Amino acid sequence: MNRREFVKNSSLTAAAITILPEKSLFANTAAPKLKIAIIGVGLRGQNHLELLLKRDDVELAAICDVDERMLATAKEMITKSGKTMPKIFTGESYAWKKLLQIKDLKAVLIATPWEWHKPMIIGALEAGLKYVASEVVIGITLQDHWDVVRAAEKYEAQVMMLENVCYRRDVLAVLNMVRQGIFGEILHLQGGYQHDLRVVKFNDGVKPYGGGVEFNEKGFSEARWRTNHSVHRNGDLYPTHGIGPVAQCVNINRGNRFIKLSSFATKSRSLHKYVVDNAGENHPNAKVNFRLGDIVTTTISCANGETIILQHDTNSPRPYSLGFRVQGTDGLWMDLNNSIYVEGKSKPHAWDNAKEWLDKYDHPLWKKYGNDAQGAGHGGMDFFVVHAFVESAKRGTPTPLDVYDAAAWSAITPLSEQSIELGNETIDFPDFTGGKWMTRQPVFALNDDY
Amino acid sequence: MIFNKNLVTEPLVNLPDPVVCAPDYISDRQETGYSREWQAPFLPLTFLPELSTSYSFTITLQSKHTPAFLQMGKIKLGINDGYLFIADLTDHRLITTTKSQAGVKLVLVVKPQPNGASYAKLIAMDDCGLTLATLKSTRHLTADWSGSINLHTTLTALRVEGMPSLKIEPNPKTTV
Repeated sequence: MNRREFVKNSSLTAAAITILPEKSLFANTAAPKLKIAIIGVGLRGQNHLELLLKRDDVELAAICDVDERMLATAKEMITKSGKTMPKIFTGESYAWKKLLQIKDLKAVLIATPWEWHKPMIIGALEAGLKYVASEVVIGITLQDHWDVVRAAEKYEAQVMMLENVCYRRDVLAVLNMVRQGIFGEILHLQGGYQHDLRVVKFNDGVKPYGGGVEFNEKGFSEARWRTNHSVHRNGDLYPTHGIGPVAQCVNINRGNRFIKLSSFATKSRSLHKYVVDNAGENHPNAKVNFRLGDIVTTTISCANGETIILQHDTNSPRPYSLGFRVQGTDGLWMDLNNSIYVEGKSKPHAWDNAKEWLDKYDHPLWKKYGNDAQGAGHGGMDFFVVHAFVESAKRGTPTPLDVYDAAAWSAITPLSEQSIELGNETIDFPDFTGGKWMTRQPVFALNDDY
Repeated sequence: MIFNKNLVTEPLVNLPDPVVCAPDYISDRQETGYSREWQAPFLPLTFLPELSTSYSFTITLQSKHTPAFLQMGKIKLGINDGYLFIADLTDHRLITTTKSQAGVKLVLVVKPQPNGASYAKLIAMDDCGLTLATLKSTRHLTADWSGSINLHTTLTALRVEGMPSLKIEPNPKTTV
């Protein structure tokens, strides 16, 4: 075969791969399929279900939920996919424990209300599973976080928190730039969760978003459980989307760690106002005292001298933004104005449009899987986080986001609550790695594998 | 097969070096710092630490019970009746027995200030490392901290970290 024929044949092969049905791209006929189950097939769990149904390298063994409506939707999705209907576990709050007894189950994915994450993670580890994925966050109290860490260590298992924003395309491009030194030595980072959730926290008990001011038992979907945290707690209740990406930029738990934290909360006004504006002063929920400050700001210091500011802003009217900023001795990125400045490359005192930079430093993962991620939830990043978990479990390798990452990121909530409770006190950040942070090596997104 | 094209160990981006990133104080402390730790039941009741109070120092003590306190030089500090105290200064926030029932860790950090003054911060933590209360004081001179450590309670652990007293020259910033 001469060179011209080789190139021609190679092109035909490449074209054949390109036109294969999407699900065939994930087939792995040589290796056994990963036997996996999902606990919680509400709206978030259904995102993960959709991704798993597209893969031919996993066998969905079971799903579990206590909500009949959500279960019915999930079953419909499975039927439409043409896949075998898995075992269904439902009917009582601890049906998930029976699911964990399925023979040869290798992995479980948990997408339930926050307060269930810790017992379900630990239950899965006690049942012998070595790969457990949990939606954010992994616990409520600081003790919960230690319990999960110690259980993962005891059973030598992988606990991966599904922090999808770590895989956002611009976030990964910026991480690529950080690792190549474009911004110089990193000094300061910002992120947060600035998302008007009023129509998530309140609804009419029928639709998942808005249409009423009900929550708890009269609400539906997240309003049944999430809103209650805003009633009883005051802190950064949802820190991981903001902290995960910036933690990767400064190698938290891998050569660096969080040292101290302080949090400040504004007064609480907007949830009460929303109830009054939409249902009047006489509605019973207008009498609820919401503890959560409308905007909670947290400052964290790191062992290597960086500072991080996180903002939690879910009660007031505003467009969505995670408010990222990554700043070093040579320049910075800010996602809010989609801008980058690099000294010596950008015009002095003028922003560059970030697009050129982000395209140039597009991460190898997105170059490779960008097409596969098309249509996946949250702009495609859900594909990557589930893909990483599945590939790790298939290969028996450590997950790229591990239990120490999960604990450090998620523990910001109870620590911020405590800081506010103590009058905005600066408080110490526990070292979940027990000193191993000094020698652990970075592992996240080092190549185009997963 | 689309996946498994690249080895996990084949980085496509440059890696930071965690060793280079490690904070200075780790190596500093190992080379020149003073660090001693006692575990019960070997705890002495009174001893003279070879510690310079002209430099920052940290004392960490753990106790399964409250009250727990010690005296360092002229200054008595700890937790009593659920409140942190440094000499005659008492915090207003009550640490309930529920919060401290599994034991309490007290961390004292003292930093010298200009003109021989000192800044002291006392932190109470539960067994998870959650800060329960803090108390700050600037009422004492650096010299007030010098002297023996007297333990007034049964501790489970004590650690003293700082700079040794023997080979340290007086700090010009803290000399009157």
